[in-house]
Amino acid sequence: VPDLLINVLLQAFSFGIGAIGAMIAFRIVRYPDLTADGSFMLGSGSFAFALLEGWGWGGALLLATATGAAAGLFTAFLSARLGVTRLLSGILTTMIAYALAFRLLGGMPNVGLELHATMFGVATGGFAAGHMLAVSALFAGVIAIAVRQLLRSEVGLLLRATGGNPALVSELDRSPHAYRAMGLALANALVALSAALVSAQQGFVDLNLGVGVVITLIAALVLGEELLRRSGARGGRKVTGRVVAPVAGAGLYFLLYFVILRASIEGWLPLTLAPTDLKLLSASLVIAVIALRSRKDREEVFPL
Amino acid sequence: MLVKMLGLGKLPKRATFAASLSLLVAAMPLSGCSEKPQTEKARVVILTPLPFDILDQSIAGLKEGLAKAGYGSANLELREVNAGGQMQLLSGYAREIAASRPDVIVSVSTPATEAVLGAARADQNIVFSTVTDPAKAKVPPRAGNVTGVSDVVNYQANVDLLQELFPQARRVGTIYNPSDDAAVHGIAKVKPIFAAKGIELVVIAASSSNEAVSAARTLAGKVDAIYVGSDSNAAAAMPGIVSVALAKRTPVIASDAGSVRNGALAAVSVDYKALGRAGADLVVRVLRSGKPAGEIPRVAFVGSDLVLNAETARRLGYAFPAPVLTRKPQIVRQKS
Repeated sequence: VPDLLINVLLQAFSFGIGAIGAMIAFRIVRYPDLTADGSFMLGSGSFAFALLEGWGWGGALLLATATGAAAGLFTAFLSARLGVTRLLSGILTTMIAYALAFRLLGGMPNVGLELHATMFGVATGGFAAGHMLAVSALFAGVIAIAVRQLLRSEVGLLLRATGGNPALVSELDRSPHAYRAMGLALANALVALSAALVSAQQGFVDLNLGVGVVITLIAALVLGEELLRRSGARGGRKVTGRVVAPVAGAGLYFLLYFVILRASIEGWLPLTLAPTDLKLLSASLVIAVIALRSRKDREEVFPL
Repeated sequence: MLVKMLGLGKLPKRATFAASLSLLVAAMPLSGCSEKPQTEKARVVILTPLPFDILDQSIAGLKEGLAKAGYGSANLELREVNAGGQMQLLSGYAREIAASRPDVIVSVSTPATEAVLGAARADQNIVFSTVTDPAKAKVPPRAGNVTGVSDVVNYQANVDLLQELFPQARRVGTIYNPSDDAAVHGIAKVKPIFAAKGIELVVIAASSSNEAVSAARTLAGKVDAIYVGSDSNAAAAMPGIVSVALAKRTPVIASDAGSVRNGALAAVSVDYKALGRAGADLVVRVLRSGKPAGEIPRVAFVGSDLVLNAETARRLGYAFPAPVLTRKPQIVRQKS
């Protein structure tokens, strides 16, 4: 059981950062952003590239974050300047991101990373994973606080207005397009950062990484919001709640995921899990949470 | 919805969400704890990243080998965990497997091996299988707890076979998927072999089965033969590749038996089932000896099965040379 909890928390903190990104895209600037699969792959690809080029893990994290932000900007550009529909814009960026990631990995579909060269330092050998957990928690904590402060600043107010009332932003002589682009850049930078953490934990980067991440992040986001709402924390609509919800949701999501997985490994389940059954979980959780909400709330949760 | 199905519709609304979640969580471990047998079964857990033909074959061979060695449901608890392509969660999967403390963890494929190596404790036995290049997978050369089987496509034998069947060949086309590990590895190996024979190699990249067939269309008639190495994408498109190649009377030489069954003329193949059985031998030796897995030597499994397709030969109007037929080839007769 402690091993299970460590595993859950480890995933919750690393994917939670990405889920905060999803929160910014879906809730703050209210953009149905499907770039996450691509920015995740691009993030881990650039992370591996920089690490192998000897930039050190700090440089690798910076590059990952920067390429993720670029992916977000590109999605915004496609939609604002070229008039690509919002859903399609993210999908197109994802395609490009995969192509770039393949280049970054030097044409190899799978690249091993030296664990000791990453921010997890000497924490090789997995379940000395306490160290990894501490590092991931630190990252998630710093990011959560930074995003909270940002959302409470003037820039943050304008970001929030961009999602809620873009006309107001225009009246203030600011461009809603620019703030939306900023929001998407930030969102995908966080997704890419989370990808870098995940890659460092896994010790490898694979070209199939990132497939389905977007639905994982959305599941974490809506689960977390529902959790906060039900626990009476005013639906997590305050800024702090907004930032806490994705991480808490990621925790709940991976708790369910790994409990079911572990049960199937230990043979506690009456049936054998097909490899794709756990994918069902993500989709059904999202559907269930949205279905459980009242009609009025459902309108509020646009664009989900 | 879920709540109603469970007959809990009358609970206050606020409680239902939490209730359904806690039910889900609680139901899992409870439902099984009572049934868990207390016997001294050996426990083996297999991790594989996604459903995929050669990985599945090697797992089938592994199971066969274990059964042959006398491991059945009475004395072995065998679990197969397939991550369904969720590569970003592979380490999470590996950690859960390690935490369930099986006697042996079998990691099938390169990414699964990388994930298991990162997740397992130093005293847990790991047997890897179907890893093309253990060094690149960062498998430590002499870890105390790791052994396994790597698959070595016998490129030299494949090219030798091609030359033996078509001594006049001067230009050979090949198709490979640049985003497949094994294919990239293969193309690097095969280039110098063709070069040494003075055969020009025309390489076309194709990362989907459509592209593979259209690559074959480009090559057909312009080269003396098409060679498909360890490329799962092209192998999957083999029926299409063969039909466009045969239309221009261009033979296709492959590196796996499956492709020959799908219409390629000939191959020197790694038998992945046999490779899986070799992995089973290692698992059995670990279980029986009680020694750390690292003390059991690793196996490099080299393909040596000669497989020919008689039906394709007939359609090409080709007769296999006598020396090839005396080497006891496996002959298939399927059409593509």
